Amino acid sequence: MLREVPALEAVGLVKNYRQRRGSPGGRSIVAVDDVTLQLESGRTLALVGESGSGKSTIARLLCHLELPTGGSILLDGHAMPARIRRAQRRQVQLVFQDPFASLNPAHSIGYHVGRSLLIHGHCQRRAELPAAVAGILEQVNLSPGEDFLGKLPHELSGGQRQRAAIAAALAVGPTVLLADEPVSMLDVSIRAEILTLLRRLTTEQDLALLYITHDIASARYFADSIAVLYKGRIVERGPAADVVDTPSHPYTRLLVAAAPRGGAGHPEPLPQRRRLALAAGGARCAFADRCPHAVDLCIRQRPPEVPVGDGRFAACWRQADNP
Amino acid sequence: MTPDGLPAPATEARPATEPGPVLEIRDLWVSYNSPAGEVPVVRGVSLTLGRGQLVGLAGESGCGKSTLAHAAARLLPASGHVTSGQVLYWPLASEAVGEPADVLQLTGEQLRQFRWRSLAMVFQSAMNSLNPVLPVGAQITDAIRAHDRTVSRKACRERGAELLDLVGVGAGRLRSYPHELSGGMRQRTMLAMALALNPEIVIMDEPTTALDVVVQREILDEIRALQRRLGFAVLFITHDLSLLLDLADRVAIMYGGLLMEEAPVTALVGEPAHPYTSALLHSFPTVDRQERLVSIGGSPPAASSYPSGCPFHPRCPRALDTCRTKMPAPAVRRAAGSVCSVACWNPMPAAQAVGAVQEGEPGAS
Repeated sequence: MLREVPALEAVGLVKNYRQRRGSPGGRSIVAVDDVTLQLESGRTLALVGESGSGKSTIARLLCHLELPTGGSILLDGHAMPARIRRAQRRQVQLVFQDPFASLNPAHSIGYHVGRSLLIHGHCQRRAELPAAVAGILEQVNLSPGEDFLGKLPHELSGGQRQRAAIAAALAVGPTVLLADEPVSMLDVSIRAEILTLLRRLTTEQDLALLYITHDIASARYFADSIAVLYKGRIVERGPAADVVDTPSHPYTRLLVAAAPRGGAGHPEPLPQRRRLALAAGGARCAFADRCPHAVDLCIRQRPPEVPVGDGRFAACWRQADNP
Repeated sequence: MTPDGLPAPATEARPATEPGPVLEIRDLWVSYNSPAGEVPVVRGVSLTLGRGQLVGLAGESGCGKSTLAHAAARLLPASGHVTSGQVLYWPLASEAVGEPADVLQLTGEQLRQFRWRSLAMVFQSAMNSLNPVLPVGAQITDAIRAHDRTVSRKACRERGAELLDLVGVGAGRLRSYPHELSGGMRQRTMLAMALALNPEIVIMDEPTTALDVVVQREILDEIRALQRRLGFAVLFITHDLSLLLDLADRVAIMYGGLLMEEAPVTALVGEPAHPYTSALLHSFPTVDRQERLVSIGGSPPAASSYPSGCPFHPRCPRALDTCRTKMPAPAVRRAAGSVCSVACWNPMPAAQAVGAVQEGEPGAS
């Protein structure tokens, strides 16, 4: 259920990267541009965008792997300080895309999960560790958990590895889980299982989940709400079903039109690509150079986020003009 | 029977709506040498690519789909070899289908002529397939002149410009280096190069996997449009069944080195006969199909450890005792009025095989 204070909230988050390190005159790239989002306990927010849109940067900012250039991150309503405490770091955990790279090949599954427990003081006695780890492995359907304690990552299939990575994140005892493309490296037939597992954990443990993906169909299926990211800006957000079924931002509409239909009827034709030669960044709509409906205003001024229905917002001048 | 003893092409036997074959893979077995011994990766696959058709080959990692395609193009790495089977190519000789040639028997010069001129490939990673230190125009010229020295450089440039226009990159990019092109443009350039010599067959191995959704859709639309216009046949390999269903005429599903099911898209979606196909179709959501997903327990087997019998049996809800011991043979059936094949001892009830229908039998159900 909705709580007064979101478990994790980003307000006006900005991240710039200097293009050439060390050179004072180097241009900077705006990877995340004034992003505001809320993660609520027991609910899933999908962050949808193409590669380079800043999805992963947002995840890294939210779990304090990187410091934002501007804006603030509130954990349970309190601003996170630049020097974060272990107790705060514990609350936000990240699951990476590639379970082949996120587990150390030299260490057993029991070690990976056990470390999380020990470091964060969830298991005081070494003797109790195996049982505690096995318990967590069973939460992610690696059962019997005892059998997996001594296994090395290479002995597991991709799906099992991703479940082990989720177990290591859970062992810390987070309130917020950030899953960065958790299934895109996995075979199609095991994706549903991992997504269903994440959904079950979200409700059972009242976790707030950020599901980062490029696949808007899975976001619609899996998340409660969707935020669509384009060039570091959120162009549309709202309840998942509404955003996908009746997209209001031209970019969301393009994403939905381009999604495979799985043989059900003919895919909608894509609008002709239009390329306006515009200078990068600046005060304009990020999508203006590709938008089939762009008007003069879109190039001159950045669109505000305007309400377009029940809990939905879009950053589009056309929506601002015709409410 | 043809003079060289090969069985007659199935052209006459097929329903009128089905085009004659341009490439026919017959009972192909491919193995890799490994320290642990010989590992069969493709185990008796038969697949026909009709002239001008787009056939999708879908499967999960390690199912042998790429190995099958590479074997058909004679591009296997040194550790891989065909242990038995045929790959028949029917060239179009002056408006009539000529004699089939077994691609696996081609030697030196014949093979060089076959590749690119008859069969071209588009690979997943354009950055690894294009030469980073040559402009793309020069690479197209190279490809053309490698096959015909008599073509002038000027003619090659003109052809290059024409090709780049054709795939939507624009002739202005002839002098561009690969790094100056976006991911989508590089993949289009790869497509242009594949089409340089007007091949009859283009094998595409995950050509859009690394691209964003919108760019992927644009390239798929382009492939379809070009294919309709120029009439080449495509074998499109991907792990992503959802996009094949919008794109292909027929879809073949591989698992554990076997061809599990092969059918036109409508039949495959409407009445999947193989439990694996059926599960696969319910394992991903689409933007308008949001029914409950079915997860398939377990994971796909590695080639080194294919289970005995039907490779899918450990994950199959319909597995019988036979499935554990005997490898299923592909059986021909009819669904939605067309010829399909399925390799399963206990196919889905809606699509029980309609007796032993011979492929050539006239009159669809």
